[in-house]
Amino acid sequence: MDAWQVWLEPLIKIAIVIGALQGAVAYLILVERKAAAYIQDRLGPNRVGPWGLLQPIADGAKFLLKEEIIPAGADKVLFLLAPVSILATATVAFATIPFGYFVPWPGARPIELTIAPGLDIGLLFVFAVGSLGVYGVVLGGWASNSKYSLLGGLRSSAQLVSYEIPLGLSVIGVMLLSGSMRMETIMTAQAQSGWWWIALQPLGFAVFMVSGCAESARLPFDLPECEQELVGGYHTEYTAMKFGMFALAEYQHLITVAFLSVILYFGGWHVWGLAPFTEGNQVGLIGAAVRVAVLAIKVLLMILLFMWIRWSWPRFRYDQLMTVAWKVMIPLGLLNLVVSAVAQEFLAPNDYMTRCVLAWLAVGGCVLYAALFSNVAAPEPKRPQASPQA
Amino acid sequence: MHPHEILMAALGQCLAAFTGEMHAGLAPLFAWAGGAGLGGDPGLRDRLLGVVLNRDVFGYIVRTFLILLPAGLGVYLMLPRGLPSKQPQYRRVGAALAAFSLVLICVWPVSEKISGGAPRTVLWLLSGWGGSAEFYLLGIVSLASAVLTITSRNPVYSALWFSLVLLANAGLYLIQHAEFLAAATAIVYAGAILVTFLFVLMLAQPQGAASYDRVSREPFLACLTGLLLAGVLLGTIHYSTSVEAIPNAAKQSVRPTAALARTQMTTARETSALVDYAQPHVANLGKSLFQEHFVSIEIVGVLLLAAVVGAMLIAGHTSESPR
Repeated sequence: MDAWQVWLEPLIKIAIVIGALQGAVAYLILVERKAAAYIQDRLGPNRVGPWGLLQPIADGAKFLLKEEIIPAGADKVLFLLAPVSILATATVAFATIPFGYFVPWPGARPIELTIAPGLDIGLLFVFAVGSLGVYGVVLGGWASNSKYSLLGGLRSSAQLVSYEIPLGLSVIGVMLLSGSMRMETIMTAQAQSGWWWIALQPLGFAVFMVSGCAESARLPFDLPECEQELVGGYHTEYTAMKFGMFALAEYQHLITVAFLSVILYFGGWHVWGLAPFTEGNQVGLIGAAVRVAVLAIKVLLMILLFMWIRWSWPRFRYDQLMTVAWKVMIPLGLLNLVVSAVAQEFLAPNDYMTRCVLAWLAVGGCVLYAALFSNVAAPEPKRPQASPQA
Repeated sequence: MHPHEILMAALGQCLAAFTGEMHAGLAPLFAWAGGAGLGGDPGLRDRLLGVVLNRDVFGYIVRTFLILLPAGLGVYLMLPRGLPSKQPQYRRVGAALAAFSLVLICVWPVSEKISGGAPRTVLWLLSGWGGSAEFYLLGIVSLASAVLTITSRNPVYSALWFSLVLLANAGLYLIQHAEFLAAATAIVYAGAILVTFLFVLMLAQPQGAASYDRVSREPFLACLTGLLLAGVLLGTIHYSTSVEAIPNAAKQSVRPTAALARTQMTTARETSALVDYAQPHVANLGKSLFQEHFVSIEIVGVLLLAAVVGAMLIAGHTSESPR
């Protein structure tokens, strides 16, 4: 291990990831506004540059130039620490997201396109770092010395901690199928079998999508910052770039969830027909570029799906939110786990058809049960009142 | 004899304890200083020196406590007691004492049996165990945050410092290739339990809390207990690594303790035929847990279930029962 490999290579990778993330987030905000406008039959931003393409740069400049305000009575240290910590954890989660590797010339050492390649707990690392993101929200809410912020922080901590459980449960099926937590291995397993795990883990994917949406506090689950009730939630008191950091972190969470769902359920860089470019041990520059392109396109489609969801569903009520987590998502995740484990134990390792049929039977059973018996979405029955004085 | 003379003597003996082995030439100097402080009683001086330099278990433990004494005193000074007005001075002195104790631990000499005759310190031993720059950084962060956890006046800051302790520990686990343990520490402790703490603290509004929430209740007893615990742990570790017989294979290595650890690990691997160590870490851990420790895992599971049921019972009765 020479100095190049120990220091310079990771630093270059980190610089690329951070730069690409910031740029991606800036333009994703533009995409989101355009998508929202399209869905609501509006034009969206179209004044700055052709088709509004320079809008993100104008937004960024505005973030940097606005006045920084620290409210009176705020805990200054924690007030400043909160946006930094939430952005840092959202960025660190990308350390294990794999983009594959390439061999620059035949016989050379393959260069990994990952900051921390070969971490055996890959997936768990993302969850571990992601679970620390809640500190930024809680501290931001507490340190602002504002009731709205405090309520936003309280709601958010309960929501994020609750939805971590189904999020963790939902991916165990994928781990069982792939036999590993390493994301590289999970993608390779899908490429080798020719099946994307979405076909074998539909229930897991549904739970993952809902929990991922809740973890990144996207609209059906944006209780921590819902404007109508809490002004802006935990970042009500934040201005300028400090608010910008919260926004950046929110979109980075979205990107992380999109990457995870593509890698875990949609085959990563695997596409039928492109195997000659993307498979094999000696992937050159072209192969690596095709891999990255396929992965990026899938992730973009996933993000567009999230934006579509945002403008398609109204927000949950808070008790519904908790009911969905504890009474729907966790049982579904457990069911998925049991079905996957039983299939893994009793079926042949390459019998993917039977697994697929079993998984979709389970989905059908759940839908049937929900249609016939479920009343979780119904309003709460009124509690018996304290006995009136007759 | 005046109190400051006793203090002087104790300090001299304390210094003699660890410099005595490291630089044998300096020991008489400090011993002489200590002896002068005791009023020139050579018998007492020799007896004390005999205790301090003794190589049996008792000697080890006494020396460990002498080394940890500044840390205990420093933490006692740093603990929030009474009025906050005089706190900064106390805190600075206490922090200096605790840091001094840490330095003492690091330059503590190890036995010749391990170092092979040359004068070596604990620092050398740690570097043989894979201590890198990251290890020292994380270790110091962990220790300092632990002290700040118990000495902060604001409970929210205490919780945050504690989360830093946990993260630093997770980093230490990661360095030792215990990846799953690192992730579990971050997820369960830092990500869930401490967030729940913060949740409660936010509801409790500690800014306007009463004084009893912001001072340490039994600072002296707490420090004494911590000192005893740390002393016994450290003394035992030091004694067990320096006195126990070292296998022949380990003696030939440049870093015998690392070799010893390796030998013990291979022995453990040979004895447990169930686990295939060629597999990656997480798969390995799972097999070890569910094959070698299957019954324990099941018992822990049932225990947690009982805890959950108990919590539901306690929580349910307050709101539901009309009684």
